[in-house]
Amino acid sequence: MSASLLLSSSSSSSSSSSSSSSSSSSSSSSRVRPAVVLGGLALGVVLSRLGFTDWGELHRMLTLSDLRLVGAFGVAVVVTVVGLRLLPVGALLPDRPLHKGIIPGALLFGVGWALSGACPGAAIAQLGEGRLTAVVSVVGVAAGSALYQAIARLRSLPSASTLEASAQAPAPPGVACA
Amino acid sequence: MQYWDFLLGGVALGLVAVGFVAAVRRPLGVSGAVGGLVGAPGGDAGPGLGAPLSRVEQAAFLAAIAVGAGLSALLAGTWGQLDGAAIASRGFGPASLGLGPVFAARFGDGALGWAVVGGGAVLVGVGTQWARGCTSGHGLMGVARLQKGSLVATAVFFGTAIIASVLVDVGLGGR
Repeated sequence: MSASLLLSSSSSSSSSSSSSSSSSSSSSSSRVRPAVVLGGLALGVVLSRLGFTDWGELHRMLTLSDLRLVGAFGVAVVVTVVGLRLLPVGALLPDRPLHKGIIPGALLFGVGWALSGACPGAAIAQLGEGRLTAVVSVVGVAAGSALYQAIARLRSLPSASTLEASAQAPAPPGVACA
Repeated sequence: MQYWDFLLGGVALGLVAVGFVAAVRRPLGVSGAVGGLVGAPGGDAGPGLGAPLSRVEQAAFLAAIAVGAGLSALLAGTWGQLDGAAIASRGFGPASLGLGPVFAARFGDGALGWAVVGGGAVLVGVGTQWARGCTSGHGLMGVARLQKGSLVATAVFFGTAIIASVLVDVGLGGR
């Protein structure tokens, strides 16, 4: 129901701001592609039916005492390998190279995943399943993500010599600074 | 509750990922959508790729995950009866968390347990943004394309999750 709310609100806003080009420009368009919603729905169903949202099932996977979910993930990777080979767009997807955040980020993620039983997708699926613990998980994932993004923004601030220029740059729309 | 077996579940998960790429012409990634909503810079457009998800689309995508899982739980007759949702019927007693016997034996079913879930989730948020990907973007999409960053990230997060889970079990006598 919340998805349909978002859909209706977006369609109304896109009709009001129809001047922005929707084909080439990306972030300015507020049209919701149905495939994005369908993909989310299907992902939620599968995560739930797999038991990927179940702390006990995940724990048995990660202690290797039940290989069902390990096997499922392996099968999913194989299906994805084959599918992306068959799709022309599969070769166009952006690279995922090594970067400085890979190892420390994955370390934190692994520990947090084992403790909370929630990867980002599973936390949201848990919420949909009506699990009360997921309220804490979703808020935690969002807070941690926001914390990282805030730190990343601070660290990418320009040096002191250009601070004055950058302070004038992010003027909110509607605020005249002429 | 009866879960899908590994073959059905694995094929379904793979088809979801491939179907998403075919229809949206972008990689599937949950943490990317979460990051976009909390302030990450937008994704890169590329030749032959679909437009990066707008914030509205990111919100719709995440909401749809919840709705899909909710429909699944409704059909299974388990909606609202899992984990801490049973608080309403059981009261805020020692068994309020309800994440199962292993979790309860290690962390209890009270305040410590809630703190572990919340603290772990914060680590998930920081870690997936830092690594720029999670189980879907790195573990599934990136590994399937043999991307170096994703292979390393997935080995590290699976490895540390396995170590952490084994440590959770230490001294519990193999429950």
